[in-house]
Amino acid sequence: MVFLEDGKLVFFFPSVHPQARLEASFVRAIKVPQDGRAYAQPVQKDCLPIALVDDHAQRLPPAWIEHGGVMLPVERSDALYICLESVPIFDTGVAYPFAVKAGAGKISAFSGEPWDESRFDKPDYAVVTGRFWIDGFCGEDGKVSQFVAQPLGMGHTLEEKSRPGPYWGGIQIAVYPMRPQAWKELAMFSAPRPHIVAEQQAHFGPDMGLAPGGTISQNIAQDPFGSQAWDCLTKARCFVHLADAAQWERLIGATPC
Amino acid sequence: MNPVIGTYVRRKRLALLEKDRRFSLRQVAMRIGIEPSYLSKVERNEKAPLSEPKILALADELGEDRDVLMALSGKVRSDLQEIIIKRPQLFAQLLSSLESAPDKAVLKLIKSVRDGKW
Repeated sequence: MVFLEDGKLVFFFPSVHPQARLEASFVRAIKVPQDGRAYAQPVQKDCLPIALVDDHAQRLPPAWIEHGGVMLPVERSDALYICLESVPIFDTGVAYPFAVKAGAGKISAFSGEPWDESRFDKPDYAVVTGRFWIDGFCGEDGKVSQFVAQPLGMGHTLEEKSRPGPYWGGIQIAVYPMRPQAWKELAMFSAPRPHIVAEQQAHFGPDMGLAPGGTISQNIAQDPFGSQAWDCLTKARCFVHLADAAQWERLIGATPC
Repeated sequence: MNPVIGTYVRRKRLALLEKDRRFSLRQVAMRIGIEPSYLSKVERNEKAPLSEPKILALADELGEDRDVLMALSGKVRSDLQEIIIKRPQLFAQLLSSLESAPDKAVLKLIKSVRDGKW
């Protein structure tokens, strides 16, 4: 089950555990320079508002209705990151673990390969146990290229540079809870908190995508639990449309924060 | 014991057993920590109540939705009970008002996010 609560996107798996809950928010950040140097995680500017696609269906492109999900406004060249948080389970103090795949334009932010939800045999996901940030597209040597919003159709986004169309834009997220049996075995074990990453006007529509920007240093960890720990059947996923902020008012009748 | 859960569990377990021998009555019972004879009673809809932890364990074992199995047992998860007990009148009103509401209205209330084709 995926829903919106207090401006956050919540992935909730009550059938796995009554407190198995991962919250996602989308944060506008200071843009780091593209000068070849690696910078620390950029400072947060503000959280982006999120709206349900279904609440504004009459004003949106047909493709957005087909994709479902949510949408948020971004300015051209806005840098942003995704903040994920799994809160500690009441009686253990350990946050429920999730495997998270994230992509931009259906290109994995972790591996740079085409979006694939069906397998866990490639390093295209992060393990989240606690708070975790996806700042950009994963590169080599633990360096990440910051997510920078660009209009879709101008040739700047990573998907447009990587493959022929059609193009998807937006951000894709798929969340897989740990299998109940693996969680039981984990029990009181205080799990590590791996820090993988990822990442990404004369224009034609409200669609925005993500392009790689300046470089950020981050530690990249392997899955400490193994691919068998994740419940592929109970995944939840969401298409996050990035809307041109200049068109946000027209799309939902409100001004972006 | 609600007769619905016994039939449901037996059907599900037998379907799993066809592909995997670990889903024999004995092995499933042992894995969730009850006697095989007791699980047999449950499956035959005889009077054999299961506690909440056993129902949840059985749901996990069979790969079923925990809330569905709880509901089939005529129970509500204890954490949900705690939520209701904090504001009983309010939640009673809320649930009553939603009884005949279409799924779409309920989903809108909880700001549920629809997943589409992509």
